[in-house]
Amino acid sequence: MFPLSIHTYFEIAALLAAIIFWPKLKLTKLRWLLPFLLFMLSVEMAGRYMRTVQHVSNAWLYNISVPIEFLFYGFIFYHHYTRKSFMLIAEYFLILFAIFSVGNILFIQGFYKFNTNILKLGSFFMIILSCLYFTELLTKEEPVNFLKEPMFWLTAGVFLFNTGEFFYSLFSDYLIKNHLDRPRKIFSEINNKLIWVLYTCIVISILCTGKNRQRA
Amino acid sequence: MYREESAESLRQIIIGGTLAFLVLAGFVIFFLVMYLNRKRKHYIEKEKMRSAYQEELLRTQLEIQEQTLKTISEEIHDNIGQALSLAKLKLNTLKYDQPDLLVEKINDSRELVSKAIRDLRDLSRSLNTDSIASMGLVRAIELELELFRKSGFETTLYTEGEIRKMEPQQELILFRIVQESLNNIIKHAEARTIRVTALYTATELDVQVEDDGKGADPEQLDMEGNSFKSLGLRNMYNRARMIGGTFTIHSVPGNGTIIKLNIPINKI
Repeated sequence: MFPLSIHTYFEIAALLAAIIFWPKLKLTKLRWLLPFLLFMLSVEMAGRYMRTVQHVSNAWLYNISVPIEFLFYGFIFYHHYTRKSFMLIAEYFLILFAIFSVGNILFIQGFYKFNTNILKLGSFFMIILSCLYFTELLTKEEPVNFLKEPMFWLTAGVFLFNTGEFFYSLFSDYLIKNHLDRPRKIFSEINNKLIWVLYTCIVISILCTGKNRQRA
Repeated sequence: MYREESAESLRQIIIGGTLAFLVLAGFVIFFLVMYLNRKRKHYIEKEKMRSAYQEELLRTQLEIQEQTLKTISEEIHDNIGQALSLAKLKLNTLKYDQPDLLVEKINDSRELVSKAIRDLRDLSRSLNTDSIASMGLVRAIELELELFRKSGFETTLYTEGEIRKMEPQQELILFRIVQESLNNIIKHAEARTIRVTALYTATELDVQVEDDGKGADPEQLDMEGNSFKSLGLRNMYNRARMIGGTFTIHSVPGNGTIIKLNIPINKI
């Protein structure tokens, strides 16, 4: 179990930042980050415990956490869009993705096998939703200092993470079918590095929330 | 062995591809950052210019207000006050035992009071910004010249081209510049004739105020930096610039003065 992998420390750092800046964070739409980060860290620790101590598959755990992760980001995007059409897209995504995830677990890929379909579709939609947020930033009449904008950093993290993950997920079925990534080494290697990027962006996002509020 | 090699090359392809995708995503974010940064700077600059313009407008309004109060004070003191004082003096010296003189003095006093009322009405009309906005620049200048005509000047207003309505604030500023030029003629020029020309083209308005007086003091026309030394001329110059125009003055001692204003109509 110990020592923990490096990417877990990034997750811990993000959670600590959320706890430290909670007084400021709770006043923003990103307040849901704290329970989300707590959930993600718990999943990570439980998954690691199952893999390294119990030596059992933890795929079912990620089959639950991954859709929740995508739905969470979708929910955050939904609340940050100002254009009605973008909100509607996010709303459709939330509903359809939730239905698809349940359907995929129950009828297509099963509960105990890692659900690559969810990963593909989720990553794809995260890229789309991130691009929509960037479009909003581009078309805003009164440009804000986006480098101090928490949502900009969160979106940048989500965009980079899912762009990387999407490429892997395109090959994932082939790799698994042909037993070319059996201990899921490639996936872990890519995923763990992308987690560094994502959680670094989340930390910056939380720090920006604190700074913005202090100025206000 | 072959399988391991193949797995390794596939691994490299996937990692390389992921990296390529990440670099592409990084570029997207980089260009977004650059673009938004430029847009933000441009916006801040525009806001600064807008606020500077507002500040200048406010300053000019204050100057105009001050000038207006000065004009009111002078007008009351020089004309209305004088007329009323004279009327009062005549009424104070009425002698009831001399009926002929009594009637004459009462008639004189009545005329003086009427003149004071007329002067007050003219003053009120020429200072009322609402009426200037509603009647338009050319009509306002025309009425102003009428007052000068009553005071003994020979005046002409010449217009050419299709008269176009401008924004009230700009028309008012332009009118005040013309008004100040006319007041300067009374105060300093010792002129007999005044000629105002308003020339409208598709893109510009040229206004010219011309007199046949003694000409301006060359020292007053000297420039300091890119503006005039004289406060009055500097004010007129700045006001013209504020509405996107130019202000020039030509004067030859003994041969009168010409003030030229050029305002691009599109900017208005």
